[in-house]
Amino acid sequence: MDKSPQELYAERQRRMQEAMAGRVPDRVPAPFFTADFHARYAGYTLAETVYDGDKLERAVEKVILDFEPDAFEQQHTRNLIGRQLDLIDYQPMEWPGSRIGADDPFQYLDREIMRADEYRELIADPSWFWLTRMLPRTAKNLEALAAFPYPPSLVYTGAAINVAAFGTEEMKRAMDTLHEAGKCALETIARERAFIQRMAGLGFPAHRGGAMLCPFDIIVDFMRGAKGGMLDMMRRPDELLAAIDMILNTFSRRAVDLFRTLPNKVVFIPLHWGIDGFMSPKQFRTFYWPQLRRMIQMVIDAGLTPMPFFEGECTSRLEIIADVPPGTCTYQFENTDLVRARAVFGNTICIRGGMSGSLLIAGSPTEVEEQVKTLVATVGKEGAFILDGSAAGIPREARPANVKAMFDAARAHGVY
Amino acid sequence: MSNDDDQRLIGLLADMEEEAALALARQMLDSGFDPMRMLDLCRQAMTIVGARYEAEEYFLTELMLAGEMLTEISGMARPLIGERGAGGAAAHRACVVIGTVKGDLHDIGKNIVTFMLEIAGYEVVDLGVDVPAQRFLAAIDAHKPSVVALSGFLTLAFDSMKEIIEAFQEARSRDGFKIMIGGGQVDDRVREFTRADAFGRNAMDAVSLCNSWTAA
Repeated sequence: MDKSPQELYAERQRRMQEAMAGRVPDRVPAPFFTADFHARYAGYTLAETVYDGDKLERAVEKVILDFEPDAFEQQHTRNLIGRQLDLIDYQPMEWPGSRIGADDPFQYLDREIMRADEYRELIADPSWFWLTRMLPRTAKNLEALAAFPYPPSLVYTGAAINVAAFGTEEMKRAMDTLHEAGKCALETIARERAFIQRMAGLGFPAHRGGAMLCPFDIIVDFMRGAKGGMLDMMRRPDELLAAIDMILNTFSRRAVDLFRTLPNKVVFIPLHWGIDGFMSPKQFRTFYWPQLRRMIQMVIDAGLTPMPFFEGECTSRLEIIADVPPGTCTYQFENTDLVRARAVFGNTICIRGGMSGSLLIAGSPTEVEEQVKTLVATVGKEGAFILDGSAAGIPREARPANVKAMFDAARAHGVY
Repeated sequence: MSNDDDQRLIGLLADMEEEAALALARQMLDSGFDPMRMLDLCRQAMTIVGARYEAEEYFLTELMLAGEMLTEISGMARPLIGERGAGGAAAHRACVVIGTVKGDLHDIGKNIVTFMLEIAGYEVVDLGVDVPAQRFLAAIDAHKPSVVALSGFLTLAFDSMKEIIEAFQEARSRDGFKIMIGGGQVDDRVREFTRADAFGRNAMDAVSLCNSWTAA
């Protein structure tokens, strides 16, 4: 007799949880993770799925029903954001259908937003710095926030006088913009919740809870830019380290407090700058890993599961990053040697990935099936393995027949 | 100026002693040092930097700081070159045209390759990011490169690389130059897919490929 959606939901969730805990599930789980495969697969431009919730949902639902993954990654909060970004006129990022073409993907733009001589100001008062420096510099329609009154000045008679900053037309426009963008964001969040509920009713669990960055990446990606951040390690290491600590104790802590309240307990942590070749082993041990390790512990202590995504290749870091409590973490990899990772970790860490972007894009279904067999026999031999595309999941350009072959092969050859 | 200063400057640059290196370079130029010779000392220092990068003693940070120091010193020396009438341009081995392919805006990997090729003596024409076939073709016409290097971080770059290489084939014979690709998840399967001549995993591969293709 066919299983009910409720039974399938429980079975899929248990499969994922067992693997993430470092144990052997009934078979190798294969969740669906992608930045944008769903759009092309369903015949939409990326812009359509970034601006139109109905189309996004039709696309994601089609992927889920066609491939029957063991979990799916929520797409609303990372895709249905075009209107908000347009409203605030966000600068250090491109998104489909705005300044770039309707089928061009989201792209991060490397910019120096914070100057090197501003570390002291940032560290002394991070929230204030973000409100009055970072936001006005990154969102054109929020430039007026540079004149936001210092909150503690709004006290006693000051409460009556320092509100003057809110009286200008520029500030009104910024506040109106935030209100409009906020309404769009509320709609995105509400739609995502409803969609997750609907998919749960069909037997498919959503996977991810919150997403956060490690302190070093926040500084380099969003504040100092690649060149500034890299040079700061040599020119101003003490200020950089102080800023990293500050971010860990403020931004990261607040993020974890928020994630604690979300229904899904897996915290996605995409990592950019710690990869082989970018940092020396010494720099990795000084500016990156100790603070990332503390952040991972913060997530674990909150009862959540950290899922760092080590972009690029991190094979030379394996011995260092192995140092986490057994059964608590899932490490997602891109180009890192997974067989070596398994040898270093044993089953203490769940490994996720294995299907290269080039194979999914330019390979054949037979080659995909062979690769799944190889992965199951090596990396996944004793559980603690989640099969996934390694190009931040399934790349948009992947051939649908290859994607189908991957999920079919997990079912056919992944049984323990 | 003594030969000691020459060696000291090379050492300071190679050892990433930014402040001391820049101070010494300024002092040497102020005392009438030949600006062309100054640029040559920089090149010698950068060769050491490149070797240390290759030996994994240096990483991205050192390449960036080396680039910064080089820019600073070039800025001091170049205006003096005409003035002091020093001559003799450095000998270039061969030209490489490089760019991040259409649709992709990432340039960190491309910049590392550019840096390493330059210190290996190549004349590098960097077309920047999001470069379509037409701009590569125009640069090939103008510079007659020995090698064209296509960089890409995103998976969409695979299709772009393929299209660009097809455009090369349509527009001319590929006999005049070699094509190498690299970046992100580029591997041999992608090389086959795009029909490039070779792929490289890192900047050292890029230099080795160019050396093997341009060796006399």
